[in-house]
Amino acid sequence: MRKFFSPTLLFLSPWLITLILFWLFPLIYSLYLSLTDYTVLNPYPNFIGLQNYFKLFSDPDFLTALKNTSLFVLGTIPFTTIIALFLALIVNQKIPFKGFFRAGFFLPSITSMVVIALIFTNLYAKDGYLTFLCQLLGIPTPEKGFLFSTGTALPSIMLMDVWISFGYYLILYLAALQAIPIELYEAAEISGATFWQKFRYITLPYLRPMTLLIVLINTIRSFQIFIEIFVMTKGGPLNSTLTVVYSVYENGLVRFQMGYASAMAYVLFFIIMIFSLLQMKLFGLGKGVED
Amino acid sequence: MKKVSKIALFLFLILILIGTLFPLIWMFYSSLFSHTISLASLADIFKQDLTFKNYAEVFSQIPFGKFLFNSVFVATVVTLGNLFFCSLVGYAFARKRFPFKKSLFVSVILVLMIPVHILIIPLFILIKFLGWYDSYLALIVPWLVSPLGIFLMRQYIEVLPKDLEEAARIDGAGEFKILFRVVLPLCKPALAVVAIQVFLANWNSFLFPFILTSSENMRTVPVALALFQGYQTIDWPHLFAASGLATLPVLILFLFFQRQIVAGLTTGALKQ
Amino acid sequence: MPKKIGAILAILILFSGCSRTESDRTVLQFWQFWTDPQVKPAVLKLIQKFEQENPGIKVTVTDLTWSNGHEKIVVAFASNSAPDLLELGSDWVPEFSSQNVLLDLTPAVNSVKKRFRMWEPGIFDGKIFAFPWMLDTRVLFYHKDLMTRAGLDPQHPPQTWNELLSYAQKVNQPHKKIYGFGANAAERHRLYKKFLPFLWGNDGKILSEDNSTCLINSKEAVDALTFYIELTKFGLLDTQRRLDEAFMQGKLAFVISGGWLLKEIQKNNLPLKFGVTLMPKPDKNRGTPASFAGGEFLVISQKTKHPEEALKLVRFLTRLDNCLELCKAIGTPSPADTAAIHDDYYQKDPYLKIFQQQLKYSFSPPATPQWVYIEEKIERAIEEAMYGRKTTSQALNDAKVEIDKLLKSP
Repeated sequence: MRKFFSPTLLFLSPWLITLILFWLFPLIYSLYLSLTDYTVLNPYPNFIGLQNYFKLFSDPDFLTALKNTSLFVLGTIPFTTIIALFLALIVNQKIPFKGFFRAGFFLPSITSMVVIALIFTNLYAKDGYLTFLCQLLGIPTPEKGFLFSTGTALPSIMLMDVWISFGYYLILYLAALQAIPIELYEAAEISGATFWQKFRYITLPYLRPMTLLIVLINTIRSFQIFIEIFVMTKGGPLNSTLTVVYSVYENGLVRFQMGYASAMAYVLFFIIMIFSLLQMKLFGLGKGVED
Repeated sequence: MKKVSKIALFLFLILILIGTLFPLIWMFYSSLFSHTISLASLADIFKQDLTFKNYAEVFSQIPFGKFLFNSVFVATVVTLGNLFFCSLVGYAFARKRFPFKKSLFVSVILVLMIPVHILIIPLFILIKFLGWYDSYLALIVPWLVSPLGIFLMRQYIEVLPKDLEEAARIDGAGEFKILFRVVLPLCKPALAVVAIQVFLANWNSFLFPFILTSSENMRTVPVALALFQGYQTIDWPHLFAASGLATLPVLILFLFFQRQIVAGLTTGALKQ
Repeated sequence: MPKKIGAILAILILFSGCSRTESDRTVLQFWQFWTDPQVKPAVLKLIQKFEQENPGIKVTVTDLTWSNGHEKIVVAFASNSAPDLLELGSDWVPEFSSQNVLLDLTPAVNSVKKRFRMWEPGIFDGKIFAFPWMLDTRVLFYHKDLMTRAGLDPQHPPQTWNELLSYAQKVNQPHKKIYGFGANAAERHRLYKKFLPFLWGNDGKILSEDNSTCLINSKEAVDALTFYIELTKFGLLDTQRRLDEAFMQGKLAFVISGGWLLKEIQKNNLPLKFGVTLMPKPDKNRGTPASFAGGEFLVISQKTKHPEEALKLVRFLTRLDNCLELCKAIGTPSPADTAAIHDDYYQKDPYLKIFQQQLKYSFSPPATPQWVYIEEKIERAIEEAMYGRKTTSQALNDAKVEIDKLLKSP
């Protein structure tokens, strides 16, 4: 009896309660719905097994959404991570007004995503600032504007996403950088190590856990990109910015095909899970700093 | 040589900072316009008369103060709750052994990976069933234990050396005491990160607050911001003023925690 | 001590008594979209008036956002917690009407049917599920100064397609940042509203009378689409919002827009010399100056516990005097009540008069439950033609095939 109500159980109870009380029902219910032809306003869904799932893979729109989402994930995470790291290294040096820079870079990530998307819609407009900048630099601009040309719509949103998120990960990297014992650097200085050697053998290993965390959070978030698409392009033009979660939203809440949308959501979930597990294996989950 | 490179670095940073803040500076500048046709072309933009009245109007036209209060209240309670609960759960995952440990930990992260749109209908039914619709309970309770918070705490605690805990255990200290007196003081950076992460996520949360509440009394800032978008028009100056105001609480929190991170980290490093 | 307990008991009983009388009043949940600080007071005033006229009823108003209100409504209906009464835009009325979640209003409205217009979106299976509340349409805005500068007569805005095309061409000087016609880019859920008027004006149709076949590949339709794409070459291609802004900034000469643009211009006291006119016809002697009719409807949830009271509120809100008050607060919409057109508010204002005239030639899409899909296919066809992926006839032919398939399936 005492063993059952051990501290361990008590310690775990917040999560257990939250999971069981709030998330288990929605998760199981939506999984069930993915196996039905539920159309939101019709209270009598029919069980249809895996039909939704099969339909997904012959649906050109879903495949496009999958492609776009993958492009988005692979195209933003490396840049966001590297920029965040690069700038964190610089800000970490002994420069004046460090706090000012920290707060400044952090600012985009605490501003409302919707407002930022609206601002960028105007920045990207055909007669907006970015076009003006490109003209100044002699770069050709797309005919229909950045957000309405099929080739540039998604990259434009990707660029915006990198801009929004790097500041947040910069802060995380800063925190990790400051945990590295200064003695190590001092010892390396004495042994005559170069900047690159210090970076490779001291900094990088210490940053490994944080990098995993950053890439993991960013992956899970990026795969589910929605708000920017919703505000700026609604999946257009010609589905070039259609992402999976936007498609889930459209199918479920606009077209009322909630069964189909749930199946789509679970396929995405599965993909994210595989990706994340791979990352955790690659970066080593739970391993500390190897010396 | 070093001085020159330092100056170059500094200038470089300034340049990047300006580039980063440019859209926000533009937003702030636009919030000072006296009428809605604010996003004028480059030439017109300097001809506008500027005023701060939009900021005042945001508070007078709608109960924005109430919305700010709601957001601050909810985000604070959720953050404090998370700091407490995620420490508990994270510690258990990091230090204890129990059956199904691996799958339970995986369940923590998996919850993050589900697109929320398919969860809102069942969650709505649940909240209605509990009688929490349109109340602080709906805005707070489901979010008191964040998977990311658990993950962060677990990661951080796991790599801490165990000797201090062992010593305390030998001295006869109870589990709670060990966690709160011995372990957590060493976790300041992780706690700071969790605090910022959770506060931010909750502060900007839109879909669930929108669906789970309906009255003005329970409205939070993101929902209020959405209301500045009319049918085909957007009230830019007020929207920008309001969203500028909305960043202030988080900014203040961040500035406060910034010092905590630095302080905590140097203490931790010294102890090691 | 007993005195204290007695006092406490008395207070408790009084309080519970209060709550009991509170619960004797019927409470109606009303969801609506008018949250603009200029308009909301008018809504609240009407609600107050209603409560005064009906002392047994209390109304709780919930605000919906234009950007996400649809989700909230869907979630409510899906979980059986729909409000008693809500406002629905004309775009959404057909999809809810066909789902068996709205109260059948047919018996209740039979006597007043003739007095109101635009019932079509709310009719499903011969029954009426939505009450038309306010109507609005889109007209052609034109910039008088830009016309003059291009050598055109501002007293004679374009009346036919050819005139619009050639005028737009004359004004269009992109290097000077002056644009002719503002065309809607690939903006989901908006693009079709800009194309369909040309289709209808050219006597084209989307579906056959019985909604069984798609007619969108007819010659009239192809010509309309070809014309629209031709137009996009002489002006600005952007979202409605930016086109409106460009017009307000004096950079755009012609744009199809609605009452909100008129209100924005007047609200901001812009020194803009502009006018509004009816949509252009295909030709002087052919076609109609068709436009897209939009509107707000009032619907009652089928599961409401207070259908009678909800109906009372509907009748109150659509009563001519009340509706007019609200329309005036909003700006340009017109009550669905046909008598509204005679009100001075619309007759005396030159701009609003045009809007009223345009309403006579305004149409709404067919009220089929599959409209969401049909709309998507139409927009896809327009996009494909606009981006040069297909020719106009190809795009429309393909759309027809797909829409026919949709119509055949249950």
